[in-house]
Amino acid sequence: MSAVACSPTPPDPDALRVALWAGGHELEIEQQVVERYEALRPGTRVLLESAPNGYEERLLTSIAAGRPPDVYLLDSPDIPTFVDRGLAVDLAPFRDALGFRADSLFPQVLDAFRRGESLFALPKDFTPMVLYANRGTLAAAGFDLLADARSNTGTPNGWTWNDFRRAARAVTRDTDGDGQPDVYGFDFPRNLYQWVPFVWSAGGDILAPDGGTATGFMDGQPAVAAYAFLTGLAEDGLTPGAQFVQQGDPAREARFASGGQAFLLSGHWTLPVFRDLVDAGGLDLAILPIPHHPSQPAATSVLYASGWAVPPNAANLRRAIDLAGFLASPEAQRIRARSGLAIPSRIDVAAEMAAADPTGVEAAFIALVEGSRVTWGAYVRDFSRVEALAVEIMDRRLLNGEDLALSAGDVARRVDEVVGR
Amino acid sequence: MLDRAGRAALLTLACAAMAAPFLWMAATSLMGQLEVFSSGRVLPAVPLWSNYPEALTAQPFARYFLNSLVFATAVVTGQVATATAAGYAFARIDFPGRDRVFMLFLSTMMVPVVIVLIPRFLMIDAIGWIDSYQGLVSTELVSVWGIFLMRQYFRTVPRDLEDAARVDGAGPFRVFWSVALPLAKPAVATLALFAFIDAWKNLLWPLLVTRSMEMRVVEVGIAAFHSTYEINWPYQMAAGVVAVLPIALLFLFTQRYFVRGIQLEGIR
Amino acid sequence: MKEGGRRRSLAAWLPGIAAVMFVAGVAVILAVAVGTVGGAREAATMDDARVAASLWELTGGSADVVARLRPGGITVEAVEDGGAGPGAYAYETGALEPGVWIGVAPRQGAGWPASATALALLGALFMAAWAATRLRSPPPRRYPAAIALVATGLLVMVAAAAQRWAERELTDLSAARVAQGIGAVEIAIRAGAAPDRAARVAGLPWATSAALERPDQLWTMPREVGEAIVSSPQSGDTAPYTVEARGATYHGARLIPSPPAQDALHLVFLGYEETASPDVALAASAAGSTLLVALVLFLLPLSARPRTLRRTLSAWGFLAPAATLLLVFTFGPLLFSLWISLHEWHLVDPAHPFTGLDNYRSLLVDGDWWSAIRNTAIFTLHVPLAMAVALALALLTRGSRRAARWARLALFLPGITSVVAIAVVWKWLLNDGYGLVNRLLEGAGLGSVPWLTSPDTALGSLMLISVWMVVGYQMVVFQAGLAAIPRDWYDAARVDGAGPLQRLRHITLPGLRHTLFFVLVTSVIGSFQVFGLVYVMTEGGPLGATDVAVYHIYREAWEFLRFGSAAAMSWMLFAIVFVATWLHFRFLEGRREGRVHA
Repeated sequence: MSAVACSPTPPDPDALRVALWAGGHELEIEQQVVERYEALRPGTRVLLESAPNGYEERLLTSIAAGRPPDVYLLDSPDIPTFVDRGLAVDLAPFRDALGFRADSLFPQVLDAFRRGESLFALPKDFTPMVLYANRGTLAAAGFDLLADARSNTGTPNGWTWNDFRRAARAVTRDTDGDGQPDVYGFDFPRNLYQWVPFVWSAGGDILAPDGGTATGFMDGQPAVAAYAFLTGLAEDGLTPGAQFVQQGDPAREARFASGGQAFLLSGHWTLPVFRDLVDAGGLDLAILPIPHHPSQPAATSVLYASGWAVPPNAANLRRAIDLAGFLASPEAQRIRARSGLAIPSRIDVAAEMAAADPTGVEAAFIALVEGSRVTWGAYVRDFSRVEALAVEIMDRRLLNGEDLALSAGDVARRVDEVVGR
Repeated sequence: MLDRAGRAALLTLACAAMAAPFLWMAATSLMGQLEVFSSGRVLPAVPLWSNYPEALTAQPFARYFLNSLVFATAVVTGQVATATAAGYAFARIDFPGRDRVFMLFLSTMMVPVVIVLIPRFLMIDAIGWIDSYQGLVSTELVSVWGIFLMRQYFRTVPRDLEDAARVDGAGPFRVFWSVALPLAKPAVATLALFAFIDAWKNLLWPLLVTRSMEMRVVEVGIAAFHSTYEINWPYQMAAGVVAVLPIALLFLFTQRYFVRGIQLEGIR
Repeated sequence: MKEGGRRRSLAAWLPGIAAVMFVAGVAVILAVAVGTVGGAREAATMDDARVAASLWELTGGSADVVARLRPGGITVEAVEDGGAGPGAYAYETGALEPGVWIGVAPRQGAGWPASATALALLGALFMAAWAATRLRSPPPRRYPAAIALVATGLLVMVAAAAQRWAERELTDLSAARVAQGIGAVEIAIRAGAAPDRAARVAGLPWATSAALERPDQLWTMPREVGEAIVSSPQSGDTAPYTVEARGATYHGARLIPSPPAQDALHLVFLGYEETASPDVALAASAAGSTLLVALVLFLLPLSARPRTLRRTLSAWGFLAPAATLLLVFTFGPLLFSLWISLHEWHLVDPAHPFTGLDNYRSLLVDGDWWSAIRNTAIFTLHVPLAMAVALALALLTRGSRRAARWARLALFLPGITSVVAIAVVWKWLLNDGYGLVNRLLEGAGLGSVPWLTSPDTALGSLMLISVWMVVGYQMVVFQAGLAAIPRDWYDAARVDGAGPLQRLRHITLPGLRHTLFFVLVTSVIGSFQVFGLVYVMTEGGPLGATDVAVYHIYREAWEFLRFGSAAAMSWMLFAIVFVATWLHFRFLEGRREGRVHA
């Protein structure tokens, strides 16, 4: 027993440890990034400690034990948790040393990691929530909303909720005559991270501008209109039955790709799933903005970003900062862009990525960044509890038939207790 | 009761019902990523056997299997040793406070593991065993479930043989080792099997105490196909199917121990 | 006579063992205190190195300025490669000037707590003298209770003295760190750094006055701390001060930099008490050693009854491996979680304010928590169903024919498959629209069921899946139990003309009594702990219909990071399960039987 009871690789105290959640192909690419860094800094060894599943548990435990990684990937909803508690070093003083220029990044993404003059993570990449549209499915239903659109972003003037509902209704139908629809317009966006752009696109918000109140916002008139619009789609049978879990319906991507669903709400991370089909011409994909309320001029979508942060008690603080700088550098972002999972935080690298994509899908994505804003989770503490409470609003409507304004008011009061501390 | 044919039919039905989801999982492991949930599909259009080599090389699964094997074997050894001894003491030796101590032991089963994870992690970290086999194994060496199982089993086994040995002048450990333990083979086999399965399927603890890819176990590898943004269903299913094989083999091997009755007649 | 000699020696050694345990306990307590202070000093030295390196960079490489920070302790040296620096603690200044190291001599060792050491020596002498007298006069006298009292008292006093000493040392260190921080800021500002930058040099967490006007903007410390700082009196220019917030003490300094006259500058340093206090470790080691001494002393009266003593010792010999592991890896963490449950405890927040029973009190009126408990109780009702099915299957697959062997494997498959992987298959099977189960039901004209998407049915569906998952386990345990029933009992019954049902009632069930009891108790306990199934299938929904206790606890701890409240929930759940289990033992197990003399 004693022969196998010891660690297979002697721990390397000088190695820099990086915590991230990459898996599969993505991890291979991050390994290439790291190898490049090791070539630039001879004698340095970097260990990637990836936890695609259970990332937060592992990171928090290692920080609580006082043995944090040297660099960790910080997701936008975790920013307050880590930054408010002093678990991320202010990297602003090292900006010049790292050759980091603020104007080379998408401004909203950068702002998510900034507090005043301070900068607590170097942005890695991000994605807006967009509407994927299967043009083949729409055309098969004889719906010509997109017929004259030249580019992938081409949407007719005024892509409003009414237009969206009309399109969804035109598409939804029973093809094999069994009394059940086989093609749907959409699938129900049950979670806050999915539906918050609909509230914004109705001119409302879920929290007051200072992030300290929900009452009057989450149960405000624009928000309730968004709930009514979305639950209305479900109640009219334009979506398959809601699944009431965060991951949603596991079949949604497959249904969308095989022509069983016309619109899919998702981020850039879904694109690699469709990539082969799109390149082979098997899927005529359009990337559209979120539809907006008729009273509004345009939609506002939500952005989710991640960045490289350094804990203040890292064993090798300076080397860690140097590494974080490289991980966010244009060179690293170029290597990473190959995975196609997210949009690079640097404007120039993102533009290169778009230029290299003949289908125009990447360009369509980047065009939608302009009208988007970062998730509330980047600014509000305990936002995970807000999200957990907020799913109730529409769940209660769909499951118990409760009045949306009443349940929204009830949830908003409970959210006040969380954010108003 | 039932005649032979009726029993066979009933059993076949039960087996089919129980195994169906697993078979479905096996079928899914041969599909393409987008084929998995396309409506109404039960069997893959074209079985993609390449999913297996691809899934098993997407992460270093050979290493994971070795780690799981080392982990599970060590856990089985430890749990069998600690549980047989403790179970024997609780079943056979009358000492002051026995039932209270047993309840105290049993009570540790009643607290959710999620709450002791952090202190355990801090301890393992303080010893410097993070990311090592010692760290993985040391917290898992005792199973109160196993102690309870052995206690119950020893109470089932007739006591005559032990008394006879004691009359012959054997000490307590001799009696336990040469008389009681051999009689407890079915329970030991059950305990070993379950200890192995528990270690093999343990996800949260290996996730917390291992850092490097070299120390990961199979279950963590399977879960890793399910990342924040990307779920590769066929790969996950393929790895899941392969991960079942060692336990299934162990099961086929151990079941003769707990199925064959003890030959008490001969020695009585 | 041989018996008598053995008896004497056993009884005579016990006081010696108690004395050794006492000394070992004292040693652990002292080591914890000294280790904590030593660790804090080491960390402070590392911090010195970090600050010195920042200053060195700021001042353009002026070793003089750096040395002024802490005279005599800091050296700057250019090193060719990244080897070990000149001092015990070296610090590389980073990408700007690779190869330059700031060396800081380690702070002096912690020394020993004088009063605690004296107390410890006194106690050790006392215990040794007592053990020696006992060794001389074999016939035991009954004063272990008095000795136990004295020993326990001494242990607690040593722990308390060590604690006071450690606290004082750490406070001094904290104050020294604050003073050093002020020095660092002054140097930095003279070198022309802006106040913000100068504050950063002194280390996190920090804040400038501009930010202090708006506590919401204090991003690097808990908001309450910022508010407390803002409201603290503005006395003195450079005097260190302390702020009490969130039940912890923060040491800080406030100074107004002279050239160039700019914003007032506030530095806030976390003191050492709340980050590195040895409270918990000391309490644990004191409790542990007291327990051990008490255990040995508890055995002393038994030495008058040698048979019982021998039996007790041999029983604890058998229990020792399991008991030790449980003590270290389960009871220790459990007591720690009890301690956590009395605090507001965020995993990574250094401050853990003591809140007494608040966590428990708020749980009593928390409707979501009680509905989770209710769901768990309902979920547990699947256990009898699973046991009935498992027993039937165990009887059906009895024997060692080849078909039975493979049938057993098929039945066992659900229990060994990765939960993560199989959950997806179940979601797929039970989907409202396209799921196979509903399509079969519809085909049979029975209509479809919203298996997982209705609050009325979701819990029931999970119970069915749980039956599917656990019957394999239970079947195997039953099989092991069946194997222990002597075969000739059946033969005898058959000779007496008993039918299958009578054999089941009169032989199988009574013979399986202990096994049935075991499966029932462990399954009920296990069912109260159900987590994985809910986590992967329904996430507690829809509308909390499948929110079971452990899933609720998991979310509270890992998603909302409220460990204090999660620990309180765990202990409430524990109390409920304990009562349930105790009732099982009270009413279902024959307590007397199995009690024999070894």
